[in-house]
Amino acid sequence: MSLTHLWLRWPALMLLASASLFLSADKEQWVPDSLSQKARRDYDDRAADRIDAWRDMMHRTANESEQEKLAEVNRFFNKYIRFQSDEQHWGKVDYWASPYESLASDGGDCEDYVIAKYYSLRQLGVDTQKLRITYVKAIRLNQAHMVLTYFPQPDSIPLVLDNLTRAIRPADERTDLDPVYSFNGEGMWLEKMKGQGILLGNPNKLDLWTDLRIRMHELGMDL
Amino acid sequence: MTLRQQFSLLTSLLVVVLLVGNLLVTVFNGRDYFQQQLNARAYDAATSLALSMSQVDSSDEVQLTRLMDVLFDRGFFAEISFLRTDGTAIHRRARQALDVDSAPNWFKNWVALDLVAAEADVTRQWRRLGSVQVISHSDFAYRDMWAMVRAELIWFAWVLLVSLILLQLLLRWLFSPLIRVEKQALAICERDWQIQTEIPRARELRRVVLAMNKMVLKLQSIFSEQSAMTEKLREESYLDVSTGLLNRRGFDQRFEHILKRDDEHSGVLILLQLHDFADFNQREGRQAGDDVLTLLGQVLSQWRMEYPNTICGRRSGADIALYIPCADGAQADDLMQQSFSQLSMTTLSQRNELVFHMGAVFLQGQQDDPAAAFSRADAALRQAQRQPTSRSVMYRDEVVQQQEWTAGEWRQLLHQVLERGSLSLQFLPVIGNRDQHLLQFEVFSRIEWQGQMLSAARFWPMVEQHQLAARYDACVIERVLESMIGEDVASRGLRFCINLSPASVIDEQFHYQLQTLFQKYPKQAAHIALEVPEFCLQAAEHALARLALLLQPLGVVVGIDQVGTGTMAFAYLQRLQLDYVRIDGSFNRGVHLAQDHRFFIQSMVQIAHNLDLLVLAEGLEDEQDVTAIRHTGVDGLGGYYFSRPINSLEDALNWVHPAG
Repeated sequence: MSLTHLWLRWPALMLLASASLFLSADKEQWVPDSLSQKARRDYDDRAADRIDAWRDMMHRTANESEQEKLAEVNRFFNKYIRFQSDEQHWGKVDYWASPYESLASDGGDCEDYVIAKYYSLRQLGVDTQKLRITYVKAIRLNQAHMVLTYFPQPDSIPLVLDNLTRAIRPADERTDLDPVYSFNGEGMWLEKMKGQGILLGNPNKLDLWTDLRIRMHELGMDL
Repeated sequence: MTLRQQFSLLTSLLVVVLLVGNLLVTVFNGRDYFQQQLNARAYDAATSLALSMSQVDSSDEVQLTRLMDVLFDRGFFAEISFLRTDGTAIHRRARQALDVDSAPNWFKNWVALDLVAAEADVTRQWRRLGSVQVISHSDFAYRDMWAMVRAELIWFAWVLLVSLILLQLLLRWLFSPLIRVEKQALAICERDWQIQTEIPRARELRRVVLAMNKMVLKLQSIFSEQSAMTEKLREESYLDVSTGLLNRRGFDQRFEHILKRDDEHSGVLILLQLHDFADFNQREGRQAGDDVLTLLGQVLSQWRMEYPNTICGRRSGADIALYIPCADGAQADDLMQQSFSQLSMTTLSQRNELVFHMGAVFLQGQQDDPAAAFSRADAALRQAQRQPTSRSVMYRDEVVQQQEWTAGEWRQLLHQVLERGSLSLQFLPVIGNRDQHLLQFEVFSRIEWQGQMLSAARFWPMVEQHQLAARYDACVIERVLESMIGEDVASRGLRFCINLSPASVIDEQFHYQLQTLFQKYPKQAAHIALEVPEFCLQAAEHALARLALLLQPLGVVVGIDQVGTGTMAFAYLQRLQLDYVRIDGSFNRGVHLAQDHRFFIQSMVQIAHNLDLLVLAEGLEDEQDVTAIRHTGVDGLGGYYFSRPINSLEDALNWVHPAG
């Protein structure tokens, strides 16, 4: 660690903070235009179309009710992302892809669905305190799986946004899933760690979630 | 502030700046690192605790608490809480993780680790039971950081210490040429022309040292040139080339001064004439005649070694005059006989077919007429010349009959005087030329004997004859020191100048006697000056140098008296550690009429001032002479014109120059 980092830190953090404030206020930045061009450049026109569709969906549902947002976002990604295991798609055992990567590359596994839905709902103004990323076990498939859960009240039974089923259903109806652990993608602590982790580039903190956030930040999407 | 201090300060400042910068970097980076690690640990702990707690029955309070205790008792966490969704909570808090204080409070406040609560959900199946919050303990981090800071402080203290020591060594090495230059400059002030042989490598310093060396050589040559010129002038004006004795002018000047001055004089004037020297020249050739005169000069010079106060001059062709101080008529007779026999046994022996005659007169008194003295001596000479063989005759004066003592009586007299210390002191003021203030006193001594006061002119030849000079000098010095006790001389910076006889100077034992004496009176010693006549330097210079060195630490200074009467090169002024020179009174008498005297005095002033010596003029009796002397630039003047010798020290100290 050097002195430069020390002095650079505070202004940089402030820049970041103001930038994220600005982004959430402007829905044009939810899915930046540059992403379409990037998709066209990196992949093909159809990839760019999928990104555009995402943007359209976001704009369309911006003024809907929270229930509508959940349903629309769940539906959109279940439809637009083709399920592919990480090994098939990325050649890695476990890779958390950003929504852009998932859509543009036309493929993703359960985490990628969760990430895309979490990001979109967060941008659409859903309180992240109500959202949990939940590690589950798909009992019938006997497979590790991940879903996004939505808690209308802190102590209520959550709704499950899953890529295995089309509809959103309460968790107690999902007997095919066994919850293991859930975490909040945000919170005071992670906010703090985000600043430090991303800017200091501390390799210790590059867990999958942080790694993802760094990549998304580079794409102009703040998670 | 010295250069050395400035460098030291700069170095210290540099080290402190480095230290502060380094400390800041260490502390802030340490803070970031610890913050991150502690928060990450808290997060990991929260996650695993939440996972564990999710596995037990939510109503089993004991089980949940024990799970928290397991983690908490490890001691790394400040607070662990379980916040239920219904608002109730279980807390575990620790004040201090360590027994001793981890770091001073100000340090903790300054570093201020920002530890946040790590949160993880506790669930029962799909339902959230609440969340676990874990905060790491900061004490370990503070302790480690404080240890780091202290280690760094100690390390920098060592660095500072070592660098300051190295700096001092470096500066000492760098400055050593400058210190030598300083010494050299001071040595110049002390009239010591030192040349630096160690030339420094640093270019700037090298130039300084070389310039200094050049200057020293230049000063030395200026001094030498001037001395040489003045010496030459003195030789040409006052010395006779073939005999090396004084010429007529030189002799008359000195003789007149002795006779005419207000002090008492006592001595014998001897006139010597070679019989038919013109004949001898014709017969043997001019060269042979010159050889005889040269030999005669050598014999008389040897005589002067024995009687250094003798004045010898060649007044004309084959006329030689001698003036020898003596105590009384009997001694005058002795001295005439001695000189006669010495001459007739050596150069002027019968074998050389040279006949010579001597006529002498004993002179005692004050303010005598030199012409009358010469005519009486001449009368005695004519009487001697009535015989064709070599002969000497003493002029007998029927009118004046002084009381005379035999040699035995003299010895007894002097011993008694020395034992009783029954001599009285006289003080002659010497005043500054510029401010007219008292500068010093010349100290004279007289002997009281059977109600009579004998001046030095009368008894001194006897003191020398009986080899009591050293004892007498010591006696005078002791008397002066004693009389100074209780008098305030320090504030006025006065010097008391006491004459030393040549015999005392060459007496090594006398040196140590003086040292002990001065050590007894350390306060008074610092106001004593010892002076010796210039003509005795030829024999006594080395002894005087040793004496000056011995007495220097005691504050006693040394001066030279009767300057101009010797035949030595002035280089001695530079060789000896002197304080002042006193120009002989014979140069001051009638100086307003004699341009060459003025020139000599002016040259002496320049030479002496170049060497940082005071120049004093003595024996001033005439107002016009005083005015003329003042213009030569001498530093001080003394003589009967200003004051007669004062009999008591108290009166002397109260004496004020009327014009001053």
